[in-house]
Amino acid sequence: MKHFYTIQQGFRPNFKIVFLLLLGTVFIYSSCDKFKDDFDFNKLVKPSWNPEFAVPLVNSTLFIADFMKDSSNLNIVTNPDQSLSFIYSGDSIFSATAGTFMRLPDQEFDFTEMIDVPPLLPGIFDTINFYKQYQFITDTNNQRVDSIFVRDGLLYISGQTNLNRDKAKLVLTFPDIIHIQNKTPLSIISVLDNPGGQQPLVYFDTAYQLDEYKIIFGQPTDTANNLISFDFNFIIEGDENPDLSPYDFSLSGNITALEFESAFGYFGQYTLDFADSLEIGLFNDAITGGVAIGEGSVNLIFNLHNSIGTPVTFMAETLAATSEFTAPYHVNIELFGPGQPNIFDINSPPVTKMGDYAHTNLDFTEANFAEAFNISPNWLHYDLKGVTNFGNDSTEQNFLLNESRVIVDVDLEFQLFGSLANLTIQDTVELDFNENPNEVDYLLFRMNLTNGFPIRVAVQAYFADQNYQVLDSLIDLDDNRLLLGAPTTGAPEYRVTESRNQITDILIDNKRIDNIVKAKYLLFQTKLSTTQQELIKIYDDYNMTIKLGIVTGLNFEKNN
Amino acid sequence: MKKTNKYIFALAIALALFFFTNINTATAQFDRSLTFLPVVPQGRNVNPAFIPDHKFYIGVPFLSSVKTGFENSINYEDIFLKKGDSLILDRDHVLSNIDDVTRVNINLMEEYFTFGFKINKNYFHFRVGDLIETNIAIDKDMIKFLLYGNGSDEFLGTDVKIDDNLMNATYYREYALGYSRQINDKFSAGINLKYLQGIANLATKKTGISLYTNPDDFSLTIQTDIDINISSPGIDNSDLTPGEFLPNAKNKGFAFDIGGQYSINESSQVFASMLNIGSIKWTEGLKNFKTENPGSTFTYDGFDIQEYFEDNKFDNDKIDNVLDSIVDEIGINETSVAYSTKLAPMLNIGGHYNLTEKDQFGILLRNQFLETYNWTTVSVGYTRTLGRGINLMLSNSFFSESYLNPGIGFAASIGPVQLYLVNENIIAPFMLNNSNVFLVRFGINLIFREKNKNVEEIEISE
Repeated sequence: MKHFYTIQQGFRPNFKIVFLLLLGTVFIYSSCDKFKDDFDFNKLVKPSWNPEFAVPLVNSTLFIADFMKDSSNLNIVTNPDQSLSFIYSGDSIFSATAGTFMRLPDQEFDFTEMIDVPPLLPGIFDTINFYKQYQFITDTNNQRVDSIFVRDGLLYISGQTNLNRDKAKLVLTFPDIIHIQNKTPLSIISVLDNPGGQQPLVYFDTAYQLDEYKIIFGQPTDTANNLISFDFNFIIEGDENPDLSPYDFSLSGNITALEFESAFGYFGQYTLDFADSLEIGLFNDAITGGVAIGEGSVNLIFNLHNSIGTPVTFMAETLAATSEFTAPYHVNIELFGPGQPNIFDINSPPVTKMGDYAHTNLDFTEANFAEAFNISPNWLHYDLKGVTNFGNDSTEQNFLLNESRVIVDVDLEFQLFGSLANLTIQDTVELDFNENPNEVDYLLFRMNLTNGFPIRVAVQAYFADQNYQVLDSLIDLDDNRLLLGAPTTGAPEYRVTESRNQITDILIDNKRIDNIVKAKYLLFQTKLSTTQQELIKIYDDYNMTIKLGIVTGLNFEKNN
Repeated sequence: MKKTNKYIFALAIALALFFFTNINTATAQFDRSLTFLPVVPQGRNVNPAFIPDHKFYIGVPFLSSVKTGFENSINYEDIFLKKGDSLILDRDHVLSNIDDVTRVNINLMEEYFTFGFKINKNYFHFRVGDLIETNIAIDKDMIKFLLYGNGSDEFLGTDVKIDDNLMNATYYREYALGYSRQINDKFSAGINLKYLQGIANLATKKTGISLYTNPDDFSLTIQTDIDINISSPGIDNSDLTPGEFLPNAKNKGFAFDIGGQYSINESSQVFASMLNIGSIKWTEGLKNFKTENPGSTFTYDGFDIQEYFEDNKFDNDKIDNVLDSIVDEIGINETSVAYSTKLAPMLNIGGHYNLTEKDQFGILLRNQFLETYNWTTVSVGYTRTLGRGINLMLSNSFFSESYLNPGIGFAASIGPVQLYLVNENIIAPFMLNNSNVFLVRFGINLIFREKNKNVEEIEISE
């Protein structure tokens, strides 16, 4: 039989055990103390090396459109020879419509007449008539209105008479106001019954919409034109009332809110205003330098669309290119050459094409565009006047529709053909870095540029504070970082033969990184030139490939 | 020593040297010296066939076995140079001191509860404990890459292939039920059955990366073959609390250890054991990162320049997005799929030779089988029995990186209270800055021996 022993049996203090426990304690304690001394990382000094990590940041192939800021008025078009043109288009400018600029004034007329009524037996009718004319008032003195198709207008007549017949009426006919559909003249019947002759006066009034009528004005006389005829017919029945003839009769009236759908005649002179400014974004960011354009590479195109049936002559009160940076800052454009006035006629639709637009496309090969473009213009300002019947020939036969107008489109077409002389473009980009620069010892930017454009490019970027005070530059001022332009075949095609590739390193140490991080703006300057100002053409397949990578030297914290 | 015994020992040493000359790696394993302290019941962790000579033992809860240690192929002085009072991190110094593959292994264990008892020829054992095992293998090229960077002259314009990196970190709870039996006078055998509850794991199956940095524009051509699995509490929750690191019954695993021991004669025994045959299936708190098309090559060459600007303002975030974009476009899929990790099996072959009744020599050849490599060590030990339940042990473990790793250990009983401490590199606490290996394990057990055994021990000590 086996037995477990008791605690008392096994308990005998033993110096060997105490020794071993002390040994273990010393061992553990000394270990901890040693750790503390050996592993004091505050004694770590900054290494003399940095790990360098490289990452690519940018890989872009940029065509000419990518260099242009978003602009709603720029179209880039490819010409038949694959060269490119910029077309800056102004907003279409609409003249006032004819119904707006040629007003038909309100008309007022009144007539009085004594009516002789012969004695009539009861039940016997008699008709009494007379004829009046009214000269229609026009917008201008020398207008001749032959006819009007009424778009809107209200004819109102009122009158009175002391005719004391039981049964009588007035039939007022306007032989010149013809219903468009049934071709009958407007006729208004007014009842003049005065039973028993009890009323001292009989009144009548009528209003009539004229929107279904045309007015054909009577043939002009030596003294008057624009005449409207009134044909009065009284139909009177005999009765027992006393004969008080002659009777008084008066009629007054007006035509108000008269608008024409179309009008024919001669309408004299009206001046239509077309003033606007065309932004030429190509040079918006240019701050200095200039361009010289190739022959025939700039064209100012007026596209005019006219539905007014009158001769229209255009004259430019202002037509100038302006630049904010390049002297002389303002160049007047002379469309027809030096000393020639900027006056030209545009087409008008014939009456057979009434309602259509007649188009006039004008380009100006003799204009001084080269001079204007030498200032790298930002704007083209124009203030054009279109004058109807500029020759003031009243024998002209005009027509106007209510909606007739002139529309002016101005396009500035610029074929990218010319030379650049240190054209310097600056753009400002907002910055807001919030990184701690202590982590980075240096930055090495490697730009790998492949230039397919025949343009030399020099680049600089300035880092500026919130007051635009320059803190640092990306490239040392003494460093001439120039990206060579691609060589070309020369005239007449000026085609690039091969692209230029260039790798450029830009080193920024930690002191400069500190400046950059503080910067609030990046002023990016690009200086563009053509070799010895030779002419170049830009084709649609030209591009520039930008590859930008960065090596970051990581910074170890220095403790000692 | 008999001729047979000498032959067996010579064979064991020859085998040890054979394995030893083929190792170049290290991993977490430890517990070698426990086999040289026969009075400590935790020796079953090395050899399940081991039947302690006590009738019953119970570990003091939470103190029965506390272990911490590391086995690295690199030490502090391999990294840092000390000049005067300054500490210098020198790139060339680091690279000249590291192997082709640097291994860092950290092993922690806390035994919460354990007991064992003997019934006739049968011994039963139970324990609950938490284990953290971390094995990190870093390719030298990877370290060189991190120290130089891909933008350095060393790597710019060259193909960099880094594919020997490995990180396996597992934190799990083990419930082990052990049984050993003295089958006859000479042979005993044992087994431990383990139920495992995974708490957290990071396992890299593949970490292949090929990188070419174009010197002209720094564009990166990358090919990856990545397969990384993670299971962790609160993996999608940044406000993780320690309380979430509780065993997760859904991350289940099973493993077993087996061993056998043979007594050649009264003074010599040999044993062999195979430990940690099993796995854990991770099903909770998952994240998997795997290359979608391992054979495909991806080139990242930057953003379009216009993407850096918005409303004429430089967009800082775009720079931050560069690395994100690289990661996004590499084609590594993120999923949440269950996965399994194997425990690293461990083969122990050892023997003891009792020179006298109080002096015992031992040897342990150990090989751990990891996915991509084997890690073999040889340990030798001398144990002196000083008295009743008192062992003093001296040992040395041989590693390829470090031949001199003298260990010391003792086990002492004050009545039934047994204290033990094992250190596998006694130099390390005093020279931790150039130590590759360090282990300390200590614990307190209550040992209850059979009465007649106790009497025998008293006689021996006298």
